[in-house]
Amino acid sequence: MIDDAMKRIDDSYTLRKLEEMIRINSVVEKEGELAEYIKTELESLGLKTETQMVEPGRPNVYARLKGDKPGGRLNYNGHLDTIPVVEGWETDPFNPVHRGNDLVGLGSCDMKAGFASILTMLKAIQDSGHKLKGELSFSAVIDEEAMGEGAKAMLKTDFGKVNAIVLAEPYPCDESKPMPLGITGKILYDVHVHGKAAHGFRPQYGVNAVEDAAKIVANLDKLTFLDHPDFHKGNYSTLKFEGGYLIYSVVVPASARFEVNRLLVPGETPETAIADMEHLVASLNLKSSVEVKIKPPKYEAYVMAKDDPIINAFDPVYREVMGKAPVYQYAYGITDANTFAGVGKIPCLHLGPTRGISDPKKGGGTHEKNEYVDVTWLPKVSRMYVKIADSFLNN
Amino acid sequence: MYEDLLKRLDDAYAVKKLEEMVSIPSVVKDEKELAHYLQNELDKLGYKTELDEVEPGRPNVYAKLKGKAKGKRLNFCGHMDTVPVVVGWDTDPFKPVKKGGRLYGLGSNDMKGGIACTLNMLRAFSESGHPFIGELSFAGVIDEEAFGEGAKAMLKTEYGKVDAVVLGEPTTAEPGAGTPLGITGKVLYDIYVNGTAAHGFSPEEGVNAIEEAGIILANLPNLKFKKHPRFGQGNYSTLKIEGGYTVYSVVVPATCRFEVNRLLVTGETAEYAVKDMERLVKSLKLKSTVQVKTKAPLYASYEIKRSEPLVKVFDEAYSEVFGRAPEYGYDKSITDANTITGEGGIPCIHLGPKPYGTHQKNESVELDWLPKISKANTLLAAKYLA
Repeated sequence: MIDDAMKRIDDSYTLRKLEEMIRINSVVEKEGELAEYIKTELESLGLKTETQMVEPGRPNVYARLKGDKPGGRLNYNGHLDTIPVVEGWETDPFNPVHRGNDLVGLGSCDMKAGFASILTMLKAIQDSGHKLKGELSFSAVIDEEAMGEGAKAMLKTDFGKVNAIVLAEPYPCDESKPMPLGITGKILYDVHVHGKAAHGFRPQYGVNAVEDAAKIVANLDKLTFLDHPDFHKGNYSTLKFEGGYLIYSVVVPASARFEVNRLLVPGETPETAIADMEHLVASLNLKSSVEVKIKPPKYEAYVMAKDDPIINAFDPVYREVMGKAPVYQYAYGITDANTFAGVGKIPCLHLGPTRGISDPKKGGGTHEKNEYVDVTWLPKVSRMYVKIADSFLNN
Repeated sequence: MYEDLLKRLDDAYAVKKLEEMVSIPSVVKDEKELAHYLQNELDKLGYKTELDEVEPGRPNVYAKLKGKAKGKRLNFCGHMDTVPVVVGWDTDPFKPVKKGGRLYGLGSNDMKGGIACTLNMLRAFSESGHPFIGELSFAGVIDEEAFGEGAKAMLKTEYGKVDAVVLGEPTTAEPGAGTPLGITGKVLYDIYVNGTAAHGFSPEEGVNAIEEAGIILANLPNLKFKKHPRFGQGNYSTLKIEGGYTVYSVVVPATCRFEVNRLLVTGETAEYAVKDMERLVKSLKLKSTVQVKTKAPLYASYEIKRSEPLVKVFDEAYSEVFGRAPEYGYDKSITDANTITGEGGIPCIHLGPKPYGTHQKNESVELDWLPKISKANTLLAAKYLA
């Protein structure tokens, strides 16, 4: 019975697994060791695992619990990788440190806590012998923080045909981070500016590609953003800018390059976004010639119905465990759901612990220095996972 | 007059030396091979030579010839380094090509053409045994295209006390390309923009240092350039920018750095320039904090008088060769004169063959200028050391 599984939820196991996973450096491109750890852990819980070598040394890991009655297929998913270490950590990012209710470490919140809760759920179901119809499966994918290659590879497997996916990303589904009923798409502009070299003391004879590129960057607020009824407007952020001498010499730079991340709402496509940037560039009447390219990764936007079966399973469970209604949103933050739902058409639920509060000086939030997770969330998340699996598969 | 010298000038020799020098790559930092070549050549011509290592593996080369009696000391100076190869050459930049009356190659006009004309003159002096008073010398210096360390090192030697210097830069003293009686100074701004990191999908939570650097760059025309009666106004050119991720991740960049070259007229100091940039930055009301620093090299502006003995002699020599008086001007082009005259107090004249595409692809020099410059160098030296 479901209560047996609920009684078997071992919150100290959750914390132990989380600490062990933080200790394993899995910065994007180096997921191999954590993948091996998770594979071993799943096997020790009695699950059969499968490995998919997405790129050399970078595997996705899968496992499944087949029920003895036919039914739906539900997958719990997480990404193995973290972002790189940013400057300013006060402690060793790979040494988990308890600070009151907070556990500090790289990937603690994004998203090793989610994995820890999924493992707790699987252990509780295995230990209790609780039977589920259909199939409950697990997936750990590489590369979410970079190109999303892990999620794309998963769509090519049998797990690309599941009926719904629960992503254990840090979405507490409240006002601080609502549950996405849809997510924006994204492209990465890669703009190449070509000027003309000249002696740097006679700039009037050259065309300074860096200065022309800067004019574009200074005018990005003039891009056209579609106002979507649910999403409102997308946004942009310049991520990189390079141009100028390699070895010092006084030469007007003939080329410069910059990259701008742009989030797209439904109705905007990579093609319309490129045309938009080309239009902006043309309006600036620059002397340089400009090529507007895009660089991977690109992602499709998606929306889902509010009464999708996975939402119907989730909503009452959240109300029961959290004691309040969940909050929904049309979100900006790219996750692997852009691939699973946007490309694979698989309905996605995002549910996980709350994020660290971001301090302007000390960081603490996801993708920041001193990232932490509030461990009091983990027991609630583990319990919601068990109930959602039961509700979706057994009803 | 001076027929004994002039008949020893050899146009073919000058072209041959130029071709040989172009074939020796000497991109700034790699001057050593060319220094050895020049020492070897000057040894053959009978000059007393020496190498002086300015930095490990980067020597200046000096050569001197003493006259009949003690007198004034005249030095012909040239930088051995070239700028790096830029993209787009039609031919191999290190294989000299003659076409349409020009010779193409990296450094052909800046400034191996000038050095070739100087060698032609030096050869004429030593072969003819022409009697002169004082000392005639040559200095091949490193690093002019970067930090001017070669010229600075020269000032610390005996050649730092010569009475006059002729620089073989490609300055033709033609109308529109006057030879400088003064040169602007220069400062290299090194500007650090500090924003706040955030997730790149929530840019409003951060402060994008690259975008704010872009705003400063787009507003550089609002710097205040003083108007000088002879120099006119200075100028600026952004030389480099860097900012953003090292390994791809969607993070609002918290830092960005860029460098802007600024030429200064007399009356504008480095302090003035820094305060000007700080004023501009403040007016933009950015969210980032910005540090306006400067980076080496820093050069002082200078002016010499029209009545300077070197200038008078140059005037005569040039007029004899070209049939017209030379044009003078006030230049915006930093050369080793900013060090030799600006710091060392030694008057300098710039004279060299006609250039095309300096610091650009397909750089070339006009070949029929080589004999004229060689002749002008010879008459100038003969008259100055008479």
